[in-house]
Amino acid sequence: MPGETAPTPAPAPARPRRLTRSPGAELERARRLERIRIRGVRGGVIRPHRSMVGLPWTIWRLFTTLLLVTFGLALLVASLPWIGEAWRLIFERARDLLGIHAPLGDQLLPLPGGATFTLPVLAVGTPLPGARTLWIAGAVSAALYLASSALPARFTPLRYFLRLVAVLQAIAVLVFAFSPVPFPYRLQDHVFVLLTAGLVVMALVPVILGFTLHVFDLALWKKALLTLALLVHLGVFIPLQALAHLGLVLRGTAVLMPVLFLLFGLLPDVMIFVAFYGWALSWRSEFERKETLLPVHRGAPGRRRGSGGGAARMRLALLIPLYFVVAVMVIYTIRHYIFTLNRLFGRHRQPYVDIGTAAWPRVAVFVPCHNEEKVIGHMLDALLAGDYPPDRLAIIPIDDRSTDATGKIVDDHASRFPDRIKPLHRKGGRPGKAAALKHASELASQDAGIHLVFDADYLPGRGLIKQLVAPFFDPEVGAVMGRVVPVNVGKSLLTRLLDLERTGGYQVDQQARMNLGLIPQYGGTVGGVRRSALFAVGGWRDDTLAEDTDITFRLVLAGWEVVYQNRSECYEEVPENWPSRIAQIKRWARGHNQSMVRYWWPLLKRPPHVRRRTVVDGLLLLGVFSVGPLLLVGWGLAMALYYLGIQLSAGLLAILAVAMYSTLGNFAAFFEVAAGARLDGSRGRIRLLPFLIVGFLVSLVSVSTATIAQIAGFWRKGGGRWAKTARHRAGGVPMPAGDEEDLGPGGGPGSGGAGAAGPGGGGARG
Amino acid sequence: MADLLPFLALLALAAGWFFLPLLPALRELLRPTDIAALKVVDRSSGYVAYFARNFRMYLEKQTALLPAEQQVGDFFGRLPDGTRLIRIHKAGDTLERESQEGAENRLVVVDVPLALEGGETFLMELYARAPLTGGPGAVYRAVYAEKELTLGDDSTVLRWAHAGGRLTVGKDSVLRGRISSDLGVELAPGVVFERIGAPIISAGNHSPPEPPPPPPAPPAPWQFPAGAKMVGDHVRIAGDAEIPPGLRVAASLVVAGRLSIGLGTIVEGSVKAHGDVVLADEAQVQGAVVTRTRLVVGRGAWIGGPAIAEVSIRLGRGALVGGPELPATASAPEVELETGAAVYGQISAPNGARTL
Repeated sequence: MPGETAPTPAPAPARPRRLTRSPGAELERARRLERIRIRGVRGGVIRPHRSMVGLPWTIWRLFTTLLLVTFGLALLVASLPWIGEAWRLIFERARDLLGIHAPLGDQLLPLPGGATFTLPVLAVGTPLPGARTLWIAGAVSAALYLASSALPARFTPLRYFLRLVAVLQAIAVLVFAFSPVPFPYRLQDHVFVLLTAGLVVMALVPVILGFTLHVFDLALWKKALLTLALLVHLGVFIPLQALAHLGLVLRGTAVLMPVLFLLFGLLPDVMIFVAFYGWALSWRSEFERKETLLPVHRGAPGRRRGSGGGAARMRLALLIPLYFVVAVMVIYTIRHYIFTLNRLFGRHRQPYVDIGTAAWPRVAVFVPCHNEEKVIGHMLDALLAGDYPPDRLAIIPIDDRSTDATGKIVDDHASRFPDRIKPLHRKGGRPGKAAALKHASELASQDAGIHLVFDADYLPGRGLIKQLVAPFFDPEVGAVMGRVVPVNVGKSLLTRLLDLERTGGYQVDQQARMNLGLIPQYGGTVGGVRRSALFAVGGWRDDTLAEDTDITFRLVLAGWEVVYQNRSECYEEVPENWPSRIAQIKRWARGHNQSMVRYWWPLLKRPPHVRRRTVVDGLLLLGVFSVGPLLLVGWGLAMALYYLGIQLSAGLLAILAVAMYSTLGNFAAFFEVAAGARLDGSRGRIRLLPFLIVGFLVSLVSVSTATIAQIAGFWRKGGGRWAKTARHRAGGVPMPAGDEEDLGPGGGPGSGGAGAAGPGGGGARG
Repeated sequence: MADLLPFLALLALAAGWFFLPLLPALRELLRPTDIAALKVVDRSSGYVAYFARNFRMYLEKQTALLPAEQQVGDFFGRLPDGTRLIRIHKAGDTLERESQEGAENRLVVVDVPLALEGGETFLMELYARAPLTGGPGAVYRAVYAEKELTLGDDSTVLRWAHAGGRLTVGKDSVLRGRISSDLGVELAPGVVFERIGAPIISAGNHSPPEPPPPPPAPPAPWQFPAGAKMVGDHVRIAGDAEIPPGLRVAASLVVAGRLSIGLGTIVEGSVKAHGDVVLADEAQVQGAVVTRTRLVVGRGAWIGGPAIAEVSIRLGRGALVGGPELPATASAPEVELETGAAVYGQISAPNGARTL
């Protein structure tokens, strides 16, 4: 037998020729072989799977990063005199062009190190509004608010933004009308503060890019060029923006100043930064992240008011909570930095993903559904096509009072596969996903030691069940979560934004938690729980809207581990319209907040097996849906301070504004998104980063209103009904061609692709 | 009106300058270039023979598209998709290489038993319908053998190899990617590999060990240390744990520190330790063994379920993972197998495994 061929003692047949070659030829041969290994026969690179990739960190990268930061700052400092001159020139020309009859003066801005920067100042008067103007402004605000309601649902972000403008403008009208003290700002102060804040942003550009862009493997000249382009762009935009404000107020009234300041002040600068950043990351590297802690920069010389003790107390009463809000934002910001950098450069933990052969245990797969006729058939077909041993897999669709054809579809499948599909039709009891799971898990056979859960719109691949079961060989694992991948990405702007958010949330956030040994969150689908663990902690709770978060924390508190498996990917259908999305995120917020109320204290008490960093991460995870309302509170405080004449523009408000873009919305943080998309190899979609802001705005409002209603006690105690996300699927399964299509030599026609996976079959590492 | 125009121009200029960097975003929104859903992994990650099977399917499809007279017998030409192919059909034929350096740049199909002389470089796949014996120092991009496959000493596989029969690998070979066999894989000393899947994978040409039979009389039970706590279906132990020789542990264990299982001790469940796990000689764990660091398995020790370590695994002489009726996986970034160690199922070592 060939297998029994013993090593022969005879002289070895001609040693491989390669050993007789010169070292140069050997080297060239080795390079050629490596090229063969990582390339398909048609030349395409076979990439490692996205779930496994990271970035190498080198001393050279560190050196060039520091070099570029230094270069950017030095460039800016060296250019300050010219910037001052240029801004003055722009102001002078604009004054003449606009016919403003006011002298152009200088105002010194103190800089660190005793230096100063000269800003141009147009000594114009401030057109304070009369009663008639206020009435008109009030009426316009009301009209704007009403008009926003007429916008169709697909313009929901615009609707929210217009409402924000209207509300802020109405507040301004009320303040001007009823405040016992005069409006504390002159127009020239407003302009001065804008220029100052803009300069702060410019100063931060090299530093932020250092953290967020230069760590990637873009060409050095591209990084330098982007820094330069961004500085030049801001250097031109900031005086133009200030002059536009000036012109608007001069042609209108000072009652516009608050809205201009709060919404059109620093935010456009930040948006420009995001746009450049997203564009740059679409070029060729990876990573993102765009915000950092702003050093509080004071120096806006606006008039101070309220010199008495009462005013000081008022100032303190507003400042202390505002500092608290800022501190929370900073903590979340640091958290996101840690997660993103860890995901990019840290050790990648997926210890169970290579378990491909095992004596697979019995598994029950639960699919809760309520009126899911559009999708449930696809879901069951996908499960039936899986490669899990059929005699160890029970598929349990839980039809909970569906009024459409869901029950019939389920029964049809069950009649065709009676040994594999065991449906449960619920006609009574508490409705809702959590209650359905509770009911079905209690009825399921005890033989099934693993309970997996999928939502009805999911499309599991053939090997997914094994992947999700594999971690349960670890006796400490109580729950497993896989990665959710939107399948309907191209349907609308919303689906594209949700795709980006999912990318950040799973590819970066969840995997970083896994890497760091923190708490990856079981997300209620594409995952499951160990039956014994589930019942050891009391089973599913049916009085919650977020049974996934709930079980995550109960398991962790009881000593079980929750793990995330980045490679266990599954398609989902994300909401395609804003009303669906708003309903979804409101439900998430309410459910998550329920868990926060229940588990923050038990977690803070720290059971002996829970590490301190896990407690910190758990608390931040519990509080993630509180960030939105907290941010609103911060804005309110900042606005109050603004009207009191306490200048915060270059400091706290700036921090709030910048932090907003990274922490709003309670899901994947903004900067994580680009890193995740880069790791996914989806460079093009990163260009959409600026539009994420609109999604964040909608989420902020939705989450805040849900939370406020919850606090006010307007919500039912959770879990009492089916809060269903609308399905949009029509026709056949929208499954993109998977890796099964990658046939052929070298990993398949065209060579490469996700399916071909990686060098050596990608498979080598996955 | 006249004085309004400069003002409007200023507004337009500011707005235009603001929107300028947003152009790439707007363009991506209106004319998407990256709008497809990510291709989700289907089966490739867990199925070792995935690429080999795909290649076989590809070849069958392409061959079926050839004219009937080209589907059998010797053939030099191209497949319908343009891939260059050479088919060796008669016994005694030799492979004439195309390039000066001895590199074969065509897809090679061999219909007859063939013994290669060694030193070849196959830049494309090699498909053998009959037993194939490679010579020393050969380099294969990928090789699929329907029957037995023998790779000579110092062979290199760049992407994958699969044998329908037994796969024997000569010493000091380097096997990148996925290696699989429907019967078994036998590895000589000094073989480096990344992933192997087969009913039995053995280091050395010894008879692979069998799982130990149950002891005639159950050993004495181990008394859990103070502080041990029952959590669900396992016992959690804070700190390190050292289980003395010759005992029986009738539960799964989770140990916060290091775990040492004594000579001949039997664990009737799975074990997990956050620190190193050491199984002394002839120790048994009937379930899985999981560690966040290193796993060292002594001579003749047996693990019934998967062996998972986040740093490394070392299987001593005669150590065994899984069994004929208990397929299992040994997975760690680095794996070492002493001669006589065996795994029934799969070995996965992204940073490299080695036979000693």
